[in-house]
Amino acid sequence: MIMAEPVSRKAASEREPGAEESAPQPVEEMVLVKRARQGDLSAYDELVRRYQERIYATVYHMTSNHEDANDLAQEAFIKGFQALKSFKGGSSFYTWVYRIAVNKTINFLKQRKNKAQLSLDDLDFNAEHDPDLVALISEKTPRREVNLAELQEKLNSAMQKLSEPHRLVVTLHDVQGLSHEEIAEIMDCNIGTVRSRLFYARQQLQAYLSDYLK
Amino acid sequence: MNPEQENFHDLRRLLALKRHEQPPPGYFNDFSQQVIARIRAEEHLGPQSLFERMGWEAPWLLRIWSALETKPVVAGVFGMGVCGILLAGMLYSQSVEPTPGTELIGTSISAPALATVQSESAGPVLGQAVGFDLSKTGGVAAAQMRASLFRQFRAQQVGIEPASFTQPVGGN
Repeated sequence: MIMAEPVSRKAASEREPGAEESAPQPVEEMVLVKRARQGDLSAYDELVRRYQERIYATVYHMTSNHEDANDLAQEAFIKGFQALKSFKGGSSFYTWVYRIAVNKTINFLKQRKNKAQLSLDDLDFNAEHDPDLVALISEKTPRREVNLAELQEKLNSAMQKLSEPHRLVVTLHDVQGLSHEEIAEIMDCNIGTVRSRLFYARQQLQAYLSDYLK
Repeated sequence: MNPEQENFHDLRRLLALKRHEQPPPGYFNDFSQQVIARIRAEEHLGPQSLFERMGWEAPWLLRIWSALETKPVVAGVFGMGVCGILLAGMLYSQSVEPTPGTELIGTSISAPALATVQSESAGPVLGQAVGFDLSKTGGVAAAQMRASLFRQFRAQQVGIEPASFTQPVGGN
């Protein structure tokens, strides 16, 4: 199972025509938000369940630290509940809570500067069978002896060298599969800025990881 | 394929590795319950602190605060600004000369309510001694004293005898 399933793919899979007709229809997000705003914690619990994996994944890829990601993701949801009254519904709840998580993470990273410590999640079983990754390792790279765990550590170290906005764009686009428009909305900037940040961040990463790329 | 995407093809393949990073098994099973438990705990703790509430009402305050915390230059400039304002205030207060008659402003009792209460409770002695009409709100002019309160009080002390606590002999 891929943890951070891109939003577009996930949405597509939810609309699959082959899905069972008898499956219970998920409650509308806005209905849950309305109930949660009135203090219904079970409704908020449902909202948390819907987005916990994606929010955790974003924070984790930004911090490269499981414990920090756990704290920040929880705090983002708590802050989301406390601030529900200020949620006007101009965007989806998902985008809104995403923005809270991202802002919290960026503030945290600014304070944590110079004491970054990696605490990486394990790779799942599927990683060894991912054709892209198998190809990457078996290709004639300058470091043929590299294994997945080492590659994971190098990749995370390289990510940590990027500035927070650049790391965020790479995380949201290349890891989580969000569109430029969604990223622009989350980061509260225009699409051009997203594109230019993405280009610069990829250039930086390519330079840091040149030993592991063709 | 877009040439830009082609340039970064290998990098994107490598970045796909991050999608396979997984938290410990079962981690998400009780994640939402932990969030809800923390929300309940914070609700029992009572209302949020003033700082937190200000953060919700005016997020720009938090942004300024985090800038002060994380950027020493901003904190330095802010500190210098505060010192500058203090110095300017001190210099200004020294350069302004007090106008004649303003010394009495502090002693004027102008509240009619206070005047009524005081004149009723203190009786004729205080009204006479202080020598101004407490029921008027005239301020400075009314506050000019005619005589000392203590002199008047001493004059009335003539008929007062000290109390004696010794029991008379043969008394019950």
